[in-house]
Amino acid sequence: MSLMSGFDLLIEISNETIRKLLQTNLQIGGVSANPPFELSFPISDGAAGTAHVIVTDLQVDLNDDDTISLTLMFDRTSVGITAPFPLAVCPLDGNIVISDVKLETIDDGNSNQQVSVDLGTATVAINWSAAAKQEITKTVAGTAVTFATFTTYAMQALASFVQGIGAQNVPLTFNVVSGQDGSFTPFLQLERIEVHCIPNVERSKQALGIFGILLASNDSNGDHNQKTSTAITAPNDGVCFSIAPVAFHSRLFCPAIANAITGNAANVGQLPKTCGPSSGFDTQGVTIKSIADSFADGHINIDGSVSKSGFCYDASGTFHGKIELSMGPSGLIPSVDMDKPDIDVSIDCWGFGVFVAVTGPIGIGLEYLIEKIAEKIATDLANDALKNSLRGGIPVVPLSGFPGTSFSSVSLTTEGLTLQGSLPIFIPSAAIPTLNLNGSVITTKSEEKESGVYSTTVCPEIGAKDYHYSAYAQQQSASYQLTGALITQPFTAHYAVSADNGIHWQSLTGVSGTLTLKGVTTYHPTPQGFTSMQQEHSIAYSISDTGIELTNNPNNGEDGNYGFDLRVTATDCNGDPVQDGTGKLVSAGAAVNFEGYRVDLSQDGYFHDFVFCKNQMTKSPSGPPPKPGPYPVSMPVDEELLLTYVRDVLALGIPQTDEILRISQIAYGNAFLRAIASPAAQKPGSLKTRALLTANQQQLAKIALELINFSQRLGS
Amino acid sequence: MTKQSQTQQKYSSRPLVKVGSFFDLMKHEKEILARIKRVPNGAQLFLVHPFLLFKDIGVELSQRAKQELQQYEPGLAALSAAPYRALKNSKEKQHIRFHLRGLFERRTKS
Repeated sequence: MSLMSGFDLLIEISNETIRKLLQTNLQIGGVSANPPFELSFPISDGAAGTAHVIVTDLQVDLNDDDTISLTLMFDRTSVGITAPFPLAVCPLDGNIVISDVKLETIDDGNSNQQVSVDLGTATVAINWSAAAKQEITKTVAGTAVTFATFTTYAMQALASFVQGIGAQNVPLTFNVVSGQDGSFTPFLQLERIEVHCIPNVERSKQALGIFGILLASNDSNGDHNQKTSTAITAPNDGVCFSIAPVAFHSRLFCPAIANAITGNAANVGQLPKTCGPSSGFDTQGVTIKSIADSFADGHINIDGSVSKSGFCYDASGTFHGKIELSMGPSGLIPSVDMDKPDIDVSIDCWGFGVFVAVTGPIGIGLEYLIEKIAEKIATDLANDALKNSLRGGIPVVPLSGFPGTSFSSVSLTTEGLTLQGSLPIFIPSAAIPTLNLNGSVITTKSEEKESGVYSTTVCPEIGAKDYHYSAYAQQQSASYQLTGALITQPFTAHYAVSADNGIHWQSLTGVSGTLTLKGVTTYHPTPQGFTSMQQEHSIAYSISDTGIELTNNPNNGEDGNYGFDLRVTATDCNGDPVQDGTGKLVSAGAAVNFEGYRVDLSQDGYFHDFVFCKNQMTKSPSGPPPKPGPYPVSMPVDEELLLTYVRDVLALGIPQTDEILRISQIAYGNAFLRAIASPAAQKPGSLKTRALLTANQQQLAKIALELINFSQRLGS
Repeated sequence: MTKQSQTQQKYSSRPLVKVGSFFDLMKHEKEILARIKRVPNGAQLFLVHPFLLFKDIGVELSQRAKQELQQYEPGLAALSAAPYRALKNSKEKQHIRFHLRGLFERRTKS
């Protein structure tokens, strides 16, 4: 088999890496093809309906006809037909094979060739599992649809959907300028590229080959068919990068010499053969008459001729050296081994200095030169050629960190220089099957029921003050939208509520109705604080295909403020519970809080006074202005933070706890009640956990000090 | 028999070239160069220690000739015999091959 198949440069990317590139970049129906993912597409040819597919795995085959096949494993899939008659089949599993996906390169008009996969003419096949076949046969029995026609409908719909995806770019972009010699630095520029599959029966030995021509004179070279197996050796995420001797010579070796001699890699024209037309160049006191490179197994041969003249002598000779390249922890390491030069010296007169003039400088000079060349080659390869070889794509690939991490070994044969490595691609963590309830509680009607004046002294700095208040009865509506991800669709939702933290659940039946919750802890805010009692509540509900709406009955404010848990589960078209891929029941929940009664103390700035007093009482007499405390100092307040605050106050166990909580409740109003009524507030373990998580000893001591100061001032 | 004694024997059969002065030496330059060429590593041995080589190839320098040479080439006064013997006895192939086209820089007669 051929390593280079006549091309100047070859980048090979393993099947695994291509699969990961597709997983992170291919969009199928607007969804990233990173399993698990789900697809919904219409059925319209012969029957009308919808198919919903949950893809659990994606495998890629790189075929010898330069097409790609995608195999999508699926389960929890459903097909729903509405015409000519209603029919729903679920759950279905099996695999879908998408074949004849064309591999292409697209010119973006800016000399960039973008690798692309085109699904526009792809063919599809559905392979049902035995269980799925049984399910379909059972469901279509007695209808005008047979198993075969059902499968045909599904395949036609899938083919139409897949072909509609069209061409999709893979983030592999190469700079290509036809008719011009390419380069490795400052970035990889090619004269021509071809993208082909390197097939194999085993997926782990398949690869994608980027076959490149660097030199315009080699434009017609290359036959990718000679590449019959990949050179990749890495077991995972493998890639390799190979350079042919002629490309190495022209684009790395000669520029490296020019750089070593003139300081400018572009001055190849000033070099002698085999790089340029010059008769020789002087370096280190000797004249290099010619210099050539050739690849051998394990090393690069460097051969050349040299001359040196001086008083009474003329010396000329040949030299031979070897450059070996190895991959070290910090990059590509060149190692130079120079044979002693073979030199003829013609002497016109005796002079002992001829030894010094010829023997030392020629050897040392050559060694120095070849080392400089080798270092430049290693640097160009590592820092520019490799780093930029996959430029323009794969933003998640840490190639900028090269060398050391991505490329791990280098090998040399007469065919080419190959760098082996890996191209790890970050795959976002897999999504999980979920039901989601998203919504909120809004006040739909508010009616003032009473008003008055609350006279109090929040702190001595403010003194006695009248705070006008109003109390309102509120009708509220809790609306939640239900969505499902990676679960069998369509599904039927089943809602239930619990007012005792999930111990007992009450199912909501039908599409609407009224439920009664008994023994619910209910709060009623007052200007001086709040009251608490067990109360019965009547809640109206309305269920639709998209969600649920619950409404309280404020009953002139007597219904008060209370909370309960809402839970939803689902069943599939067979009435079986919807589960995730592991057989676990999928559910979602929300904590609903109705505030049927509200006291507004804002008109005279009670909350402002409360914050002012807290800051006044806790600030240092001569220090900087007080920083925000561990509990909220502005509206709107965060209920979680407020709950933490309440727990911290309780945990301190100081005598003024009750008064602090009372005054805080007045300040925070219903937010305070929501916090203490929340499900989180009813978890006994939370207090300890919360203290451990958020309040270390120092923080707790600071909070304690503030609260003690606060309570002392309140008591004075 | 040592290599040195073999060389001496080889050249002792040739007519001795007697050199009385620097100019005398240069008059015999062609013949001397020919003799040196026939000695393995001869040119290199000449560079290392001309006097020992002259002796080995049957060139006898007078005291005056030696003094004149040392006057023209002061380096000739401080030559070591050890490297000469080492090179003469070495069987290694030399990476640097010397080709002698002249003996000493020509001087005008003062």
